[in-house]
This record gives sequence, C-alpha cells and structure tokens, in this order.
Amino acid sequence: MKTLTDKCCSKCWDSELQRCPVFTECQPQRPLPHCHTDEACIRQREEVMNRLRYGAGTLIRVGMGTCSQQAGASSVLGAIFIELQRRNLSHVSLSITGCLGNCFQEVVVSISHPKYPTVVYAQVSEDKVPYLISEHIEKKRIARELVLAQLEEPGKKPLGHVPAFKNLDFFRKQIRRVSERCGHMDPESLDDFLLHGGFLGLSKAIREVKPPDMLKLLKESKLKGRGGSGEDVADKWAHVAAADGEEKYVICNAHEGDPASFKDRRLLESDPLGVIEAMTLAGYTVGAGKGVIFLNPEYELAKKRLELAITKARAFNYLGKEILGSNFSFDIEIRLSPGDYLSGEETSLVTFLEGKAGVRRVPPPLTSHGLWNLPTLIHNVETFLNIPLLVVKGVDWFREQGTGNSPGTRCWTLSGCLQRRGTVEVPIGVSIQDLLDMGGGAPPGKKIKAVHVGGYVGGYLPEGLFQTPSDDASMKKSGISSGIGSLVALEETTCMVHKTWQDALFTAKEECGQCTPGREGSYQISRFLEKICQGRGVRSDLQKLKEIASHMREASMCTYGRLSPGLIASSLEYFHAEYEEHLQKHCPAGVCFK
Amino acid sequence: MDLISILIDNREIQIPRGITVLEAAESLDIKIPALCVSPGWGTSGFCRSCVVEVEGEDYLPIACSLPVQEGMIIKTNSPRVLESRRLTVELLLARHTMDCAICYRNGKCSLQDLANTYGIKESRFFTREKPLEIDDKSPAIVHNPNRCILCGLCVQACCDIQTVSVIDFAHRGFDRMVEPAFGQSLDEVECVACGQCIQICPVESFYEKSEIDKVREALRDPHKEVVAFLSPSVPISIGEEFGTEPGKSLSGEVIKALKMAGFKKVFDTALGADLVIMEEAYELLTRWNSGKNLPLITSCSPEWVKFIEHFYPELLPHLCSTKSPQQIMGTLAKTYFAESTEIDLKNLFTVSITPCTAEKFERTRPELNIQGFPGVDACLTIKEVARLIRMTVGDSFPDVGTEEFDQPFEVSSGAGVIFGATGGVMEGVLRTLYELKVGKKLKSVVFENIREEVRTSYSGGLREVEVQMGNGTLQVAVVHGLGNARRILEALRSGKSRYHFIEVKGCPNGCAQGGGQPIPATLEVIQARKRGLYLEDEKREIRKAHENPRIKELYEKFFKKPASPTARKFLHTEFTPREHYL
Ligand code: SF4
Ligand code: SF4
Ligand code: SF4
Ligand code: FES
Repeated sequence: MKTLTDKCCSKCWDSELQRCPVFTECQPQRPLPHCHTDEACIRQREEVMNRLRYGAGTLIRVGMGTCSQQAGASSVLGAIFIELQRRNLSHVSLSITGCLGNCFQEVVVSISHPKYPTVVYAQVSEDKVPYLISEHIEKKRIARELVLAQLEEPGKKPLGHVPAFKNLDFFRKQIRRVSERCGHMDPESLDDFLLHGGFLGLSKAIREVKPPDMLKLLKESKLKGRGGSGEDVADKWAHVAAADGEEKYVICNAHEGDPASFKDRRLLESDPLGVIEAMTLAGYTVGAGKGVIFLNPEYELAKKRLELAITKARAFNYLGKEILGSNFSFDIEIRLSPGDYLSGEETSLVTFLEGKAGVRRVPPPLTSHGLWNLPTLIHNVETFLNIPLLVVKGVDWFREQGTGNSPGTRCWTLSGCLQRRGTVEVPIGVSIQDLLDMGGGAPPGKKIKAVHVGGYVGGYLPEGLFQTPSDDASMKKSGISSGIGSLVALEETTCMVHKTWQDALFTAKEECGQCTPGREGSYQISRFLEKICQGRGVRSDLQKLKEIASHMREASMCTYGRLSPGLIASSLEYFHAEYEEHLQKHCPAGVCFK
Repeated sequence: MDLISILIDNREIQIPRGITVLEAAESLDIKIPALCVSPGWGTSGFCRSCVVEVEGEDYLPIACSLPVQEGMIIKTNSPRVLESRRLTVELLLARHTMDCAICYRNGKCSLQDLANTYGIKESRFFTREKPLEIDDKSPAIVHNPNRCILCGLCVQACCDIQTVSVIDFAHRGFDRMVEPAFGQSLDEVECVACGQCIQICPVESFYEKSEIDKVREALRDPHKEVVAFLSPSVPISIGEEFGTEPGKSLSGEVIKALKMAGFKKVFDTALGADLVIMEEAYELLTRWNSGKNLPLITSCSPEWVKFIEHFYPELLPHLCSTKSPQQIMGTLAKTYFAESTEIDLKNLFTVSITPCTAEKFERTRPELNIQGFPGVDACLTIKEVARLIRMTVGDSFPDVGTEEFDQPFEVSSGAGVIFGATGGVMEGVLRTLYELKVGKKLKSVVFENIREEVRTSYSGGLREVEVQMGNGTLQVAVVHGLGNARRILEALRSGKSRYHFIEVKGCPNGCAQGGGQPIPATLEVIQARKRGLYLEDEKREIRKAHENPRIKELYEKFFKKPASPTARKFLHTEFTPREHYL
C-alpha cells in the first residue's frame, strides 16, 4: 500500500468495475470492521497515514497560495529544500499546503512531528530558513523569532511558551467550517483530502440521502447564498430539481470580480477537491449531469489545482459515469471568465458560456432556462462548500452558528487600514466592529473613520454604525448589501466624497451598460460626483444624486444595477457633512481642491 | 386554453398563460411605452421604459418580458411607475444629440414622443463629454451612435433576422455602443445595406446616406438632363409621408412633382422589371430543359446579391445573371435613350427612386458602368424623395395633380409592377414562362398560392409551391429575409435542394419593408403597401411582360431576342465573390 486508495489486501473487492459503496469511508479507517479485520492491513494503512502527516519523520509544510507566493513562498520552499539537502536531513520531508487566511503573516511554514504538536511559523523569509531549520530541526527547539503558534492535536502534550493557534487574535473568533481544511492539508493530494474527511458528504448522500431528502435537509438548514443577494439555497435547488430538461447544469461561479475580495480564491486554492465534492453533491440532488467552474482567468494557481483535482476525482470515480457505483453520472469542466468585474452576474455568466460575449438576457429564471436554455444551478464557491458539511454534520450542527434567519458562517476578506489583513470565517451576524477587531484595528498612529463593505455592490458605514451586525438582513436595513463579503477599513485621511467618486467611476465603467438606469444612471452619478469634487457642486446636485440612486435601485435590470447605487446612497446618508463642506469648496480630508 | 386571471389597474381580466404583462395590458387598451419592443421582432428588455409595479416585488419589473402569473396585481400608471419612466427617458435624453430639427424622425420618434408625454422640458443631467464619430463611409448606410438609445433592436435585425451579423454591442459601461467588429466602418464589413437596422430603430441612429444634395446639384446644372426611374413601390408608400392612406398609389402625382422639381423625364422602373422577367424566363427555360445549374435564383435584390457574394460565393453560378430593374433602366437610359435623343452621356444624370437602401450600394459597382459612367448616378429612397417633393411643392403634394410617365419607357405590365411584392418576381416570370413553355395562353394570370400574407413572425418567410406547366412540374420557392435565404442556401449547399427556381428578396416582406420605406411601418401598413401593388396589377390591361409593346419593340429594334449576344451584353452582369471576414 503506497497510498490510502491502494488496496490493503485481496479481501478488498473494490475495483473500477465494481465500486465498494463505502470506499470513501474506508480510506482513513481501512479496513472497515464489517469487511475484514486483518492486523497487517491496519498497520499498512497507519504507515500511509503517518507518511501523510509526518513524511519520513518530520514534515515541513509551506503555505502556497497566490498571496503567499507573492510574499515569496516559492523561494522559501526552495530554500528549505536546499537547506535540508545541505544538512543531509533525509528524515525531514517537505510538502505544501493552502492558506490559513492570515495573509499579513505570509510566508507561513508549519512543522509536524509524531510526538509534538504542529508548530506554525510566520513571516518566514528566504534568509530566515537556515535559522529555522537549524533551530527547529537540528537543535530541536522553537525558532523563537518566527514562531506564531502551535496547533492543538489530540494525544499530544502542548509545548510550553508557544501560544495556541486558536487563541491568536486573528483566529480566536473564527469558526472555521468551509475553510477548515485550508492551510492544513496538501491541496494537491487526494489522500490528504480523504484523510481530512473529504468526499464523506458525497458518499453518504449517495448511499443514504435521496435527492428529495437532500432538498428537505437544505430547507431545514435555511442556508442562504453567500454571494451577496442572500437567496434561499433550498428554493433555488428545488426549482432546478423540479424543472424539466434533458440536461441540467451546476455552475460554480468562481469569478470573484471584486478587487477587494479574494476569499473564494483562497478556498479554491486550498481545498479544490472540496469544491468538486460539493458541486457533485449538488448535481446529484438536482439531477444535473454537467458541472462548470466559471473561473476568474487571473486565478492561475486555482486553475492548476482544480484541474489536478478533477483528474484525481475522475480516477477514483468521484466524477464521471455512475459515481461510486450509483447510477448518477456527473462531470465538471473549467471555463475561464472574461475577467471583467461584471461577468460574474449570473445571467451574463450564462450568456458568456454560450459564447455570446456577456450580453445579458431577460427572464425566465435561470433555474428553469439557464445555460443552453436548460435548468441551471449557480452558486459561488463558498455557498457550495457548505453542502457536504451539512450532509455529514447535520442541520442542528449547522444552525449552531449564525442568525436564526441565516445560520452558519460567512467568509470575509479584510483589507484597508488594518493591522491584520486576510480572510476570515466567522458566524453570520458578527458585528462590523468584531471584524475590525479581528483585523487588529488601525495600525499605530492611524484611525479608522469608516468601512467599505461589500465592494461595488455594497456601501459605506461610518464609525457610529460599527456595531451593526454583518448579516445580509441587518446590512440591508442600513441601506447596503454585504455583497461578496469584503470589508475595507478606511483611514481617517479618506475623503468620502472623493472615494465615492472613484468607486462610482469604476462601477460606471465596468457595469455591462445594458439597461438604461444602470448605464446612464451610473454615468450621471460619476459626473455629478466629479463636479462636486472639483468644487463646482451645488446643493440641488445632491438631490439629483439621490433621485438617480433610487431610480437605479428600482428599475435596473440585474442585481448589480440594483445594488451598486448603495455606494452613493450610503455615502450621501452617512457622510452628508462632507458633501456640505465640498459644496463650500472645502475638503475636510484635504484630498480635493489641491 | 389555459386561462389565468390577473388584475391590471384594478381591472380583472382572464388571459392565456404565457403572454407578457405588456400584451395583457394591450388587450385592455392600456398603453405602456415600450422603446425596445418591435412587434414581431421581440424585445431586448434593455430600455426599461415599460416598468410596472407588481404587488410583492420591491423593484419595478418590465412589462415587455414579464410573463403573467395567476393572481398578479399590476399597476401600470402609479406615481412610482410614472416617475421611474420619466427618469429613464430623461437619462436617455441626457446623452442623446437632440438634433430633432434636422432629424427625419422628428414628429414620429418614439423617444421624442416619450419626452413629450413625460413632460421633460429641460435637461438636468450631463450631456456627452465629446460626440462619438459618425460612420458615414458606406455608400448606403450611416450610423450616428450619438442618437442611439442602445435598445438592441438593430442587433436583432442584423444578426438574428438577416443573419448578416455585422453589428453588435461593444464596450462596457457608459462606453457601450453598437458598432461593427473592432470599431470598423460599415463599409469595411459585410454589411449588405439592407437597411433593416434603419427600419427597426426607434430613433434615427441608422439612416440612409442621403443623395438629395447630389440630385439637387444636378437639377441646378443647366447642362444636365436629369431623368428619374420610379419603382412601382414608391407611389404606393409616398403618401404615408403626407398623411394619405397607406397603400394608395400616387403615381401621377409623383411624376408631376418630380417634373416640377426639374426632372426632364420620369420613366417607369417596372418596364425594367419586364425586361428582367423576359431574360429570366428564358434563362430558366434553358436551364430547366438542360437540367443544368438548377435551381436558378433571382438576382434583382441587390442586398441579396451582396449577401451571397460574401457568404456563399461558391453558389454564385445559381444566380440569374440579369441586372436588377433599376440597373436595366440605367442601361436603357444611357444607351438606347441617350443614342436616340443624342444626349452626351456626361450630361445625362439618372436618378433611381426606390424603397431600397441597397441600391445605393449597387450603383457603385464598377462592373455596372456604361462607357465609364455609372448606370445610375444617384439613388433616392422614398423618404428622401418625399423630402425633395416637400421642398418643391409643400404639404399639398397629394393634390398637386398628375402626369404620365415619359416615352419611351412609359409602359409596363402588371407583372413588372408586382415585382416588389414577395412572390411577385416569381409570378411575373411564371406568367411569361408558362406561355413560352406550353405555347398556350394562361387562363388566369394570378398565381394565388404564391402570394402570401405579411408575416407577423419572422420564422416564416419561405413558401414552396409546385407549378404544373404542360407535362412538366416546376418546383419553386419564394423566400424573403436574408435569414430565411440562408436556410435555403444551406440546404442547397448540402445537396438537399430540389427546386428549379427560387425567388429571393433580401428584406423581410420584400420591398414593402425595404430599408428606404417610410417609418413607422406597422404590419398593417406593410400589408397595405403590398396590396397596393397587386391592385395596380389588376388595373392594368397588360399583365404579362412579353405582351408589353415597348418590350416587344425593344427586342425588335435593339436586343433582337432574349439572351441574344446584345441582350447579354447590355442586360446581364457578373458577380464577384467577396471576402468573408470572421
Ligand atoms: S431620434 Fe428622435 S429625439 Fe433623437 S434627434 Fe431624432 S427626432 Fe429627436
Ligand atoms: S444595413 Fe442590413 S446588413 Fe447592414 S448593418 Fe443594417 S441590418 Fe446589418
Ligand atoms: S441604433 Fe437604433 S435600433 Fe440600434 S440600438 Fe441604437 S437605438 Fe436601438
Ligand atoms: S420595452 Fe420593456 S424594457 Fe424596453
């Protein structure tokens, strides 16, 4: 047995021709007691698992995501490799992992050993590698300069003087569910995925949960879409499941067009097989045979890992014909999005996939008349990843977190004027202030005056409203949408009028421009803001801005057009004083009129 | 039928499932403005002028594409709805050129109408920072993007209906516009100049390249003898521009008005059509007898010729090589007429007056030149000639009095008259072919099964008929609209065509919906225009081309007989395969 998926002995009857129904469950526990109980098999499997966890004795993992690569993770990886060779440390193996979310601390390196808890090092640079190896591996002591935390692992005694990972400020309030595997396993290894509970949801569903029961489960869970519109997932699935069509599609919207958001990228890079599993589960439930991952073309690393994941999933019949011995067949292809901000809008997305360059269509709904006019289910990455968890852990567990109306967790990308930037996963409904605290507040000497929530479909909130819960319903009450879950802390030196102008200009240029309110409305908004920022504004301009914003909300064609005026509306409402000053040709932040 | 009940503006109605709120409202005579709907062509849903309030929705859905649902409660004119529409129109107007004074659509423009209805007096918003370039390089079609309201109908017309697909939306956000690929000019792409984009546009963003100035210059020039050829469709539709009933012919009036404007002669293009029929009937008979190069396909629609040259050059041998009626007129004028009246060709200026925009392109074809001069020097659409006439005689044109066509091209047969109707060429050719082939007089000249109603849906447009001729059966097809023509060509290309003769009109509904016809043209108007042509046919004593005494005379004196070397030299042309850019 070299890998978990290898047969342990001839008693294992699973084969490509006939699948053992509990193949997935068997992997980390091989052999299952009801099958056979040979000691030799258990030993073999233990060996494989130890290799996965500790390599040849000690395992060093380097976090490799797009942000860590930008911080030099590849050079660190190379340096470690050379260092190990140079010192002849053949008992130490080297591997990669995904991203823990603490982008501000890249490059992250963790070292695992069978006896001691895994130690996580942060901000490791190439030149610190010899120090790290010499301290931790050779001298067997914590490399103090770099240490971040230790993981809690059952049966291992915690090390003294090393903080526990879960107590770190950035992680303390996080509830890691969809991101649980991120940064803890090798995203390119099927074995590691199986070791971390991968495909258990799919396997369970196929064996025990009939599609109608899946729908019931979803309904009870009250899971909401994590893409900004907060749609009811159960409803959407039920529609697709009920719609007629010779084929149905499941599309994972991995376009993530907002520059302030990269939480989906992190999930894709760190847990690509998880995404495959979730989409397949969706296909099983709604009766779809084809899956498409609509991927942002800039996400090259994610693409590579997804391709690998698809190949591996196919090799073990998690994708393809008659999955896991059932009569359900499903396969996934990756299609690159055109990369502009708006092509993630569902209808544009479908039209683009059909080859019609992002021209949006009008109803009927995509759930019955989507891609190629066939029933189509679309969610973003994060929404999908909740599904297998729900199947494995159940509704009660799922609803332990979040609000009554919107249970569960939500990923956020924190950026801007913060000490700690990165992506976090928190219970739905934590306050804006909680998120800011996770981000460590402003760096010394700076102050946060406002936040920009939800990117170009969101809005701005002033300090006085930082206690607002971040769930869709509460945000909506404050007049904005949480969008794709991005939070940018704005420093005191920000001119809100100027910032709103710049964001409005971006929206006006990037929107598809199909409908009159969206296109002409955002054009006019950007021109009026330009006028105000250049000191030519008059009071009636503010009235016109409000008028246009509310018109766009009511009459635009798509969600983007209806939500994007939240920018100008919230800006006008919460930062009115700044507008008044600008009308007097004075910019309190000193940004305009220079 | 599956009926459901809904409440519109507090009136309950029972209506079939599947129709839109807009259609439901229409059935109650409730008017909802709909800028981006063109009946029978569909909607893009872009303009948002048709918003309504639906109970339970917090945004305003659009009536044009919202299917009715049981129990729906709809308000079409609540203050909220009206306010939203007003803003939509105001926003559209902000970046619009507003040059109504020089716009053909002034007074019959959907946008202008809405601006008036919604009481928009001043613009409170920003105008365009700098105007977009007008594309006027094509000899036939001009596009002024500054007037475009981005409704998308022209894209539907060009891509979905005509399948020429040279225009599409480009750019995002407020830079969005309609243009040919990579911002080229219409002149640089396969635009066939059909003018369907003009016909469908709710404003005047597409329009014909005007040649009025050129004609007026010629009229002012004392050395020039300016002669006009009048298409039979022109007198039928021109009244629409002066408020007379659609379909009523004002033939004598047009001739009189043109004379008043300074034209020396006005000839009947239907006579040219008679010659086309003669040549075509002979060519068909020859091919039918030999069984070679079948089917024969008509070539009198210039946009159609350009279409096949671009997209199906390998099928060009199927085209009948006869020139189009207006080009035949040009040839007759610059040869036969010029010689007999001893006019120097450089002083003879010919103007074709037509419902067609593609003729403006056709007349620039070098192979149609006669001794270095174009057969047709200028080409005026009905809209243009109406303007010229209004300049000359004013609004009282319908009462201007009448005059007759000028010799020697003053007599035409009914067959030549119905040439512009869908199935008209076919019927005209059959009237002659029958007597040629069978050698007996036709009992009835009307081929009822070839005629058809005006289409409300554009999926139609193809009619197949078998015609018994003596002991032979002729398989014919009549098709209009280039999308439909493409289907026929695809079948032909894959060897699945069993026709002997195919009539193709590039415009849907034929010349009655030509690119140069007056606007607006509802389906009723188009129907009336077509009927007008058939009425003219009925009024004629001579209804077959070969019985036209002028035609006989022309063959006797000049062409000898159909397909003779002289006829081939003067009445026929050749086609050029053209590039098809991707
Ligand atoms: S298109 Fe209509 S609104 Fe525009 S200039 Fe012409 S008449 Fe005026
Ligand atoms: S004239 Fe015809 S081919 Fe040319 S752009 Fe208009 S619709 Fe298309
Ligand atoms: S050119 Fe006319 S038909 Fe085409 S999109 Fe613009 S307004 Fe509509
Ligand atoms: S008419 Fe309905 S959106 Fe234009």
